[in-house]
Amino acid sequence: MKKFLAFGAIALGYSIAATASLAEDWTPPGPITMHIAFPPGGGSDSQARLIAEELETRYGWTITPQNTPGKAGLIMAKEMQGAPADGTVFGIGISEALDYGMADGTADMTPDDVTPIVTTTLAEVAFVVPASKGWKTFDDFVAAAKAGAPLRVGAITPKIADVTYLMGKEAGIDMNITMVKGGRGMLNALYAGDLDAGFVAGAHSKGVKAGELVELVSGMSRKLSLTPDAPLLGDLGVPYNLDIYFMYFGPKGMDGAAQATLAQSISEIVLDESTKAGALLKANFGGGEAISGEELQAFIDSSFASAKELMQAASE
Amino acid sequence: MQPLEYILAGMQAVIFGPAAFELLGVPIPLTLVMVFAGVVTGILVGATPGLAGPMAMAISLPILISFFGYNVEALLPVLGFLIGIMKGATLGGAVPAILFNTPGTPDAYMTTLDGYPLTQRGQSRKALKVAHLSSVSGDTFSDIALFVCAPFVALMVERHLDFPEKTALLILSLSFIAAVIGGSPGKGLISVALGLIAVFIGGGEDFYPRLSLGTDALAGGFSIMTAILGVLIVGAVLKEYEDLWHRSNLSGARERIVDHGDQRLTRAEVLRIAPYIGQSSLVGTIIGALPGIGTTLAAALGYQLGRARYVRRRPEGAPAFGEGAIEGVAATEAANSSVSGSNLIPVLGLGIPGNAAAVFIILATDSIGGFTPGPSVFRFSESVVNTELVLVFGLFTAMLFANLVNWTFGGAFMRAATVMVRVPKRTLLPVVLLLTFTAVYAQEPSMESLWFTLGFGILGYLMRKVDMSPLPFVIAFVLGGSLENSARQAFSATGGDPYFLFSSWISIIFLAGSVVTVVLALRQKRTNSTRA
Repeated sequence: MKKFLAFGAIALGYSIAATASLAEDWTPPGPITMHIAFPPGGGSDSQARLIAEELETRYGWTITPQNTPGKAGLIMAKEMQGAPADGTVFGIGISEALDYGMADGTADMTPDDVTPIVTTTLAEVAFVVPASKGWKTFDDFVAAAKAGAPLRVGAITPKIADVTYLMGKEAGIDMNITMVKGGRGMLNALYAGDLDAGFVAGAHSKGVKAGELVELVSGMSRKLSLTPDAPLLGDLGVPYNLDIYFMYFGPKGMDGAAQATLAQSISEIVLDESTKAGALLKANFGGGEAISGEELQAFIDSSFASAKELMQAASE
Repeated sequence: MQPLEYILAGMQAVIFGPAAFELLGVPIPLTLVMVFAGVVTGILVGATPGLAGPMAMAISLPILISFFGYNVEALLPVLGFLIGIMKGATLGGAVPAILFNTPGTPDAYMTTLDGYPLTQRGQSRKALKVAHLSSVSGDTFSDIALFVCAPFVALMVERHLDFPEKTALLILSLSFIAAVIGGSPGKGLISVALGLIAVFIGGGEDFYPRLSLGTDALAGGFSIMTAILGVLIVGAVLKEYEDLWHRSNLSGARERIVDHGDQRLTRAEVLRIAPYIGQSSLVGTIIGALPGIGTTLAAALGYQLGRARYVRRRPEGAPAFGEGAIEGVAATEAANSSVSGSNLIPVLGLGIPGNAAAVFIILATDSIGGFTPGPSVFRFSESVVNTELVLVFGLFTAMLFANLVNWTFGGAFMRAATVMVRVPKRTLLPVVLLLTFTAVYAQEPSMESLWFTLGFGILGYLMRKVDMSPLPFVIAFVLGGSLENSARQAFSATGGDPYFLFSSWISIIFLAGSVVTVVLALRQKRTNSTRA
């Protein structure tokens, strides 16, 4: 984790150094509309609103947060089309909107139709089961699935549903995969016994600490912080991961100075744990992770390509 | 944490929460200030003919949210204010009913029957005291029922209901609401259907927006605030304007009230009305726990049962029901006020609103993070604090404080609120309209949302023109998303079984219940119209 953070910080340092002269010159030409690809309330919405609040306090900008939820962030991406590219319109969503969301072509968009700005954190994605089931490892889960009726597994985004399906296919088990709304919806269904398992993106950490939930698999390309012994997806024969970043992006062809200034200002806030936004990220995700510039572009390009492969694999 | 610690933590969240201001160096808790302000607003709104509690809740919710924000700290102050309005309005509704024979809220109609004759006899202050005592007693009783029952309902649901059963329960709730609200099950069903169509616009799982007629304006769907404020408030205001057009505005001129004789409520009188209060509180609480029936029926039933009892035990020389019996005022007011606590049982236990006031409680919890009404709220988790449960006990504390305000200051505010009856409607209606549009714009700063609100206002007006209750529309709009979600989830969780609604006995019973409710209501209506 620390290594990763350090890597992010160095990358950030480079991108800041390269664009510092641009950043100094730019101020928003008018009030900013900050779209939020999540419904009001909830941790993701709070994160966005706290960042907006801090930007207003630090720089005196006027920011109007506006919730534009739906389709894992694609509705917001659509909103960016035709919006002014002068830095007065941008939004926060998840990286899945740009990779998996655009990979099948139905959205009629590619990641090139938006301008990535900066990530705020990587969601701690884990395959979680209620402790009451008694399953300690993924093998226990597989054994239970083989012994009885198909287990019910929740998914909060289509990409997660596909990865869940491949994970089951690889293990040779049948699962009834059910879409649920957000982390809160998933936890409610797990606690109520309506679902047996599911990938959760951070909202489960409290339940794991309380001993009510157990993490069986890491969805990320790295180990889980609470359960480092849990296998990665790659260990289970699934060559994909669920690295899902919370990230800001703006309309296509966004003003370079605006992009650089926003990336710099937002990363300073999310990496600073003394800010409310930084503290929230620390509590929910273990801390902020700000990636911008070329490194962010490279991540999006590779995950867009990987999402196409994932879709192909899941449809076979 | 142990259950007792949760209760204490909830109380602390209110008392030691953020302070509104300091008085002589003592911090005054924001939530308590908001509850107090809510109760006062509620009494004033209830006392104003043409306004109602849910209207004030609808207008204040977006304004409160834009002021307090979406974070969990905003929850108790905002809910405290809304609950204050809910409780104050039932109390205030009795004022014009007793003094001027004009019910301030629809459920106060029965109060006019005995309240106004008392005023005519020069006993208006005594009548107000009876209304105050009965209303607050009924309310307190109902709150206690809520505190005891909500956790059990929630736990039962968590234990016995799976996705298909939850879908069936939502269908049952919607048909129940369609059948019992407004007196015409046919119109109720149409109202529900319109609400579902409206909420399904623009949503869906596919990328292509649903039912948007290819337009960008409809692609995002209607926001909940534009639909609800439009149908519920703008529609009502438009209808009021039409009524004003047809008759002169009479609310400006009122006769003078002259009281004479002893206005005190004696101990013997309190003992006399106590059984009526008890009986009506029980009736109101039971009715309040069922979705959709509401305060008006509770008041009517409480009054009828009170009258039946009074016929047997009427003291020598005392006025009959309908001629100024204090028992009549007590029976009605206790019944309509005892609905308010228990109607939160389905809200907190299941996340299903039973009436208009509860809709705004649900909307507040939907908008503000950190609290989702439903079974998982009531997990008494021992090792890690379940913050939602702490919030529930915070909410209960706020409700108790609202009752305390009603007990102590409610009587004085009721007397002061008589001034509201003199506000002419031609002044009141534009103010309400302006506040409504401001509230919508505060939440969604775009002209589009104002046009949508106006459009829904016209729909609400037309519904009222044809005697169709807009409440089933509103509740269907609120529950539509959950219904679709749980149906989708039930379908996939059962491995794509198209007959998932018939997969268990509980869900079959719920479905049968929803058909039976509508059929019974239709038969009832036919019998009534044949008799007439």
